[in-house]
Amino acid sequence: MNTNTIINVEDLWKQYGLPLPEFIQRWRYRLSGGRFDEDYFRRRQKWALQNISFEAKRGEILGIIGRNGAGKSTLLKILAGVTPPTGGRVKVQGSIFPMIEINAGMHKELTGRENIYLLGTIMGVSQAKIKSKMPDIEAFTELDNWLDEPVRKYSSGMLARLGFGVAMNVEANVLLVDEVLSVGDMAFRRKCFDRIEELRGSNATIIFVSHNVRQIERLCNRVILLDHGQIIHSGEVTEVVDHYYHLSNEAIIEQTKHDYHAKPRVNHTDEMMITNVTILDKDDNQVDTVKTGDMLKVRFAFETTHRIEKPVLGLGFVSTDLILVASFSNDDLPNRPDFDGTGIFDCIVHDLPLLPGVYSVKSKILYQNGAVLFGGQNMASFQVVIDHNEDFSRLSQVIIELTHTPDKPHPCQSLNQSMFFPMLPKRQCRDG
Amino acid sequence: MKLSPGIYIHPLDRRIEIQRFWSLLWALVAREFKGRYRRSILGPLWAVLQPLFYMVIFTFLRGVLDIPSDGVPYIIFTYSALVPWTFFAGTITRCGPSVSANSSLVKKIALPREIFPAAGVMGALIDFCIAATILIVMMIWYQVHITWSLAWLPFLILLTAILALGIGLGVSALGTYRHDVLFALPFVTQFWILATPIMYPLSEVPSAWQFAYKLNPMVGIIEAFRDVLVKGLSPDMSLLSISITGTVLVWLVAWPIFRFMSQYFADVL
Repeated sequence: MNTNTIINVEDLWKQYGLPLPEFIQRWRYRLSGGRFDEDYFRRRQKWALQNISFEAKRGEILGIIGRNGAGKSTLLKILAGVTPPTGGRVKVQGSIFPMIEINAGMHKELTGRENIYLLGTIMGVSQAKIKSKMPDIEAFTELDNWLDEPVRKYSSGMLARLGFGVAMNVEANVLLVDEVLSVGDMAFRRKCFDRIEELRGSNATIIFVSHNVRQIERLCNRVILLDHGQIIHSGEVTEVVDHYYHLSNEAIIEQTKHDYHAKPRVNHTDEMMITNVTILDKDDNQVDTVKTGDMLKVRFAFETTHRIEKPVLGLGFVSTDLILVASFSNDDLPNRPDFDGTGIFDCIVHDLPLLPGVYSVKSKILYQNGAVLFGGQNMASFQVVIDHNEDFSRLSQVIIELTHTPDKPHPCQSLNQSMFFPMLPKRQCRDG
Repeated sequence: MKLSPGIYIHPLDRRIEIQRFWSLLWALVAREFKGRYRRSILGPLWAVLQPLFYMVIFTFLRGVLDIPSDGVPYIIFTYSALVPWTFFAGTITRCGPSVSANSSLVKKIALPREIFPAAGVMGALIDFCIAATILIVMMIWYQVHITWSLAWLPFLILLTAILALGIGLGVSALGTYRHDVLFALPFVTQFWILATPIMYPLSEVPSAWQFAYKLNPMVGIIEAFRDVLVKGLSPDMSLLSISITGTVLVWLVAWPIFRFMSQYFADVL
C-alpha cells in the first residue's frame, strides 16, 4: 500500500445487526412464534453494502452520491469505525474526525465554549491543543458573546457553526462529512466550502457525502456513485454526476408513470382555471419525451367565467433539483388574445434548448395590470433526451444549451433568440 | 454465502488512546454531573435522600419485626450498609441505559464503548461520596470507635466498583439490545437488597440457607463495610474471598459479552 493512500477499502460487505450463531437465531425465531425455514435466512440477507472497494489518497476530496438508502451513511460509519464490516478489509490511517452529526456529544446545559472543549475531547483532541486553537475556532464560528450562553438557547444553525468551527480547526487527517453543510446560513456555508477547498491538497483527506450534486461538483476530485449498496460508477466528477442525474431522472419518470408524481399546485382566482396541460410534439401527438433541439408544444386548456382582456402568459421549465431553468412570457406581444369561456392555447418552443433531464411545467397568467389570475406548478412533466449520435458530452455540466450564431457574439442576445416564443391562440369558443 | 470476517484497521498510538479514554471519561462524568441537577431544587441532596429513605423504612420495620443489630445502634447499623449498597445499585441502574442514552455518540464516533458504563460508576461514586458525609456525621454522633481497620475502605470501595462495573457491563450490553433487561432491573435490585444483610445481620440467616446465601457476592462486601466502619474489625476473609471470586466470575462472563456486542451497538440504536 502506497504511503499516500490514507483510506483503503477492499471488498467490503456490510450487513446490519448482531451476527449471532445460527442455532441462536433458530431458537430466537422459534420463540417469536414463527416456523424456521430457509426463507428466513434469505430475508435476513439484506446487504447494506456489497463488494465495495476504493482508495482515497492524501489531500483528496472524495464525493459519495447516491439515492436514499444507497448505503452512503453506512459507508461513512464503517470508515469512522462506528460499526464493523461484515466482510472485507478497511484500513484508515491517521486521526479521523467524523462530521456525521456535529452536535453529537454536546450538552445542552453547558456553554458554547465548554462544548467546544467537550467536542474536542470526544473527537480525541487534547485540551492543550483546543486551547491553542480556541481563537481560531472562536473567529470561525462568529458566535462572539453567544459562546458564553448554554447551547440549549442556540438555533440549529448556530449549533452547526460551533461544530464546524471545531471540525475545521482540529487538523484531522481524515474528515468524514455527511450532509452537514445543509444547515447554516448561506454566508457561513460559503465559508465552510472555502475552508474545505483550502484543505484540498493539504494533509487532510475528505470523504464528502451530499445530495446536493452542485456541492459535490464544486468540491470533489473524484466521486463514487452508490446504488443499493454497490458502487455503480466511480471516477471523474462530471461523468459520475451525469450518471447520478440519469438515475434520478429514471426514478422520476417511473414515479410519473405510476402517477405518484407531485400533484399540480395551483392557486387561481374564480375567474380562470387551467383544466388540462399536455405536452405535444410538432405533429400534435401527445408525448412525454422530447429531443433537445426539437419543437415542443405545451397545450393549456382553460375555463374562464367572463371575458378577460389580453392576459399575460408566462411559462417556465423547472429541473429535477427545483431550479427554474428557463421561462418565457408573451408580455411584449402587443396584440395578445383575449380569453373567454373555455378554450385552449399552445405555447410553442422551436428548437428546445433544454438538455437531457426531467422538467416540470410551471405557468402563470396575469391580468393586463399585472395581478395574478392563475399560478400553477408541476402542471405537467416531460423528459428531454438527446440524439446519441451527437457529441454532447461537452455540455454535460450545463443546464441549457445556448445557440450561438457567429454574427452575434453576445450569448445573452442569442439566448433571447433561441427562446423565441410565439403564442398562438388556437381557437376560442363561447359557452353554450 | 460465506464471507471471511471483516477487518477494520485504524492504527493509532496506544498511549494517546489511553489518554483520550481518561479525558473522555472525565468529560462525560463532568457533563453528567453539571447537567443532571441543573433543573432540580434539592440537587445533589438526592444522593443522600435515597439511602436515608431506606433507612427510615428499615427502622420502622425493625420496630415491627424486632430485628437484632449485633449490638450496634440500628440506624448506623443499617445506614453503613446502605451507603455502599446505594453505590452498587446506583452503578448498575446507571449502566443499564447508559449506551442507549448516549446513542448519538455511539452511532457517530468510534469510542471504546466501555466508557459509558465506566462513566456510570464514576457518577455513582460521586453520589457515594455525598452520602458518605452523612455517615461520617452519624459516626461522630454515635461516637463510633475509629480504628485502623478503616484502611480497608479504599480496597472495599474499589472491589464494589469493580463488581458493579462487571455487572453493569453485562446489563448494558444486553439492555442495549433488549430493553426487557432494563425493565427487570428495578425488581432485581429490590430483590437483591433483601437478599443482602442490610436491614438485618448475617447471623439471623437460618443456617440451612447460609451456604447459598453467601454465594451472593454483595454479602461479603456489605459485611466487610460494616465490620470496618462500625465494628472496628478487619473483614471476614473467607466471606470476602467469595466476593472476590464472584467478581472475577462476573467479569469472565460479562466482559467478553460486552466486547462482542458493543461492536454492533451502532447497528441497533
